[in-house]
Amino acid sequence: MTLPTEPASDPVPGRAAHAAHAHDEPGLLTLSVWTERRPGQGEDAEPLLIHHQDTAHGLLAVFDGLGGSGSATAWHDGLGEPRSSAWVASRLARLGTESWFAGQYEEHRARDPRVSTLPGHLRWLFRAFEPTARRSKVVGSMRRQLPTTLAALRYAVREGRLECEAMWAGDSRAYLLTSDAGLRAVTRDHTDETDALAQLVQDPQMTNVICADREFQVDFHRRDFTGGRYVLVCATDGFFGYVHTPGDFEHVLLSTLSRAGSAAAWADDLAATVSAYTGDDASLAVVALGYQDFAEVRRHMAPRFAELHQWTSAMPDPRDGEAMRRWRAASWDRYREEYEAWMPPLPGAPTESGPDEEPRTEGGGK
Amino acid sequence: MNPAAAPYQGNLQYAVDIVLCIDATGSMNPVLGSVKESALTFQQRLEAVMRDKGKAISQLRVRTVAFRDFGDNEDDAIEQTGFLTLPEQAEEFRGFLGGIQARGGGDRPESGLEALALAVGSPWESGLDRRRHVIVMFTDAPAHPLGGPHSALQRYPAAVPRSADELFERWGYAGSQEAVMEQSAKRLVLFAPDEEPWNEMQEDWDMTLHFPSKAGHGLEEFEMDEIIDTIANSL
Repeated sequence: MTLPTEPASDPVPGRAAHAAHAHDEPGLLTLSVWTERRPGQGEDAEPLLIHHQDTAHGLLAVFDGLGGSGSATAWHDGLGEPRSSAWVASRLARLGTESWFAGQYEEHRARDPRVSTLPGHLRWLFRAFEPTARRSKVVGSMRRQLPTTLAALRYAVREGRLECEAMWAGDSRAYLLTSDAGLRAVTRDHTDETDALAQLVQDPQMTNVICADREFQVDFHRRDFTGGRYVLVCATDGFFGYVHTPGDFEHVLLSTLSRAGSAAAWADDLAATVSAYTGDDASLAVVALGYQDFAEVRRHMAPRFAELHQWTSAMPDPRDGEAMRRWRAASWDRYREEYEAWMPPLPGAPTESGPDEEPRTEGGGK
Repeated sequence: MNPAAAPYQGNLQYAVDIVLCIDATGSMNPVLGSVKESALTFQQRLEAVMRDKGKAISQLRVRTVAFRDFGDNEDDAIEQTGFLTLPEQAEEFRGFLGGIQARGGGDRPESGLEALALAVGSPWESGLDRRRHVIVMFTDAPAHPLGGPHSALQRYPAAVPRSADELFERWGYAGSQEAVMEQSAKRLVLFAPDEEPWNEMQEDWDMTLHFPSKAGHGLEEFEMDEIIDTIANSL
């Protein structure tokens, strides 16, 4: 089934919208949050959550259409509304990811080389759409046709073991949230800068995104986990790119979890919280596996939240720039090792991980 | 506002340095007039567009390098300012622009690459977060190649490199060692005709946007709103 099935709240027509959804059954809790900054102009696609009940396989994903390099109008919708290249791209990538995943369970499609790999399928889809997209007058090396990020986690639960594969292009991220070590990234942004705090401070240009007019790649990183209870997270930079330190995003996740009474309330609070601090569209997908219900997730994460909250409560006045810089550096220094522990290695860097943890790249584009 | 969000508000604004390279030869009257008219409102207009994109500016500084043609008259080939902080120095900015007269130019290629080289060597902001170092080139003409006979003139700037390759090295690329521009901060926005060197630069140089114009028409097809929106999209 494609989740979520029950909206926790609906967009209000004519206003900057947010949509929050949640699903809670024994063994499977999901939620998604989608917010837009300008009414009707949200360039993130709604998060994608799919869970295949029969095989305990699933996928969660987010998509962030890139408004700077994809600001030109690409399409007019059925009501005549102009839609930017970024707006179209994120929806196209969502459609492509969903149809690719579904195709994995149809024998004839799984064998079709055009659609058997995710980047191959996206390439085919984006090229099919591109001729109808209007070209911008602006050209140049920063310009992209239908540019979007993608961050996804494909998972399968087998005998209590979680097989997990991260797939990404651009600077959207996938994580696992653990009760002992907190939030651990399993993707690595496609930017020249590789330090997550420096990325926050610089907001660097991406070196690889999904698009219709250039080569692109989708990176893959597989890890297997044991333990029986897992929380998987995918998010666009609207959630983690407008905070002081990388650890603040985990604080947002856990503070909202700690005060929620249900998965739906958690989703609603996340939407309200991110809308209050972000400067961008923001989207988030969460899948918790192996928990009896929402209350067990909250209980399981409570000690970690207490520890994290103690760290963040030492933050100085944000108006004191020098004190903030020192605090950010110290906070990142303490947080970094666990945060990066499951990240894929840097390209070309020697790795001590086993073959299951090797990242690989599959190309796409023209 | 949700109390939980309070610690994150107002975080990480953009420190924006812009160098306007303006062709001040005779045909450029239309865009020069438009830029002059916008001098006092430039900061508010850019901030408004940025705000609409969810980005706040912590500091905005503007520098102007007006250029004509060393081959025509080396004495007025370059007129420039240092960085002026807006809005505090908006009157100084307007005063400088007001003094630029569109004149001369001689043959069609102008000294645009010299202006670009001077812009690359600007004393860019280096301390604040989310720095953006933006060079905006306004011209309706191709440019003389670097290292030509003009480079021997007495008033030719010593800081200008002697070849296009050397200028490219100063602009830099991922992993380059000789770049003077900061890779994550730099942007080049060209309002220039689809002619050399601009049409090659827009693909060969990274972080570049090119709005092709009609050669010899003074960029009269561009509205200031369009120019500001293009600059904002580059940030």
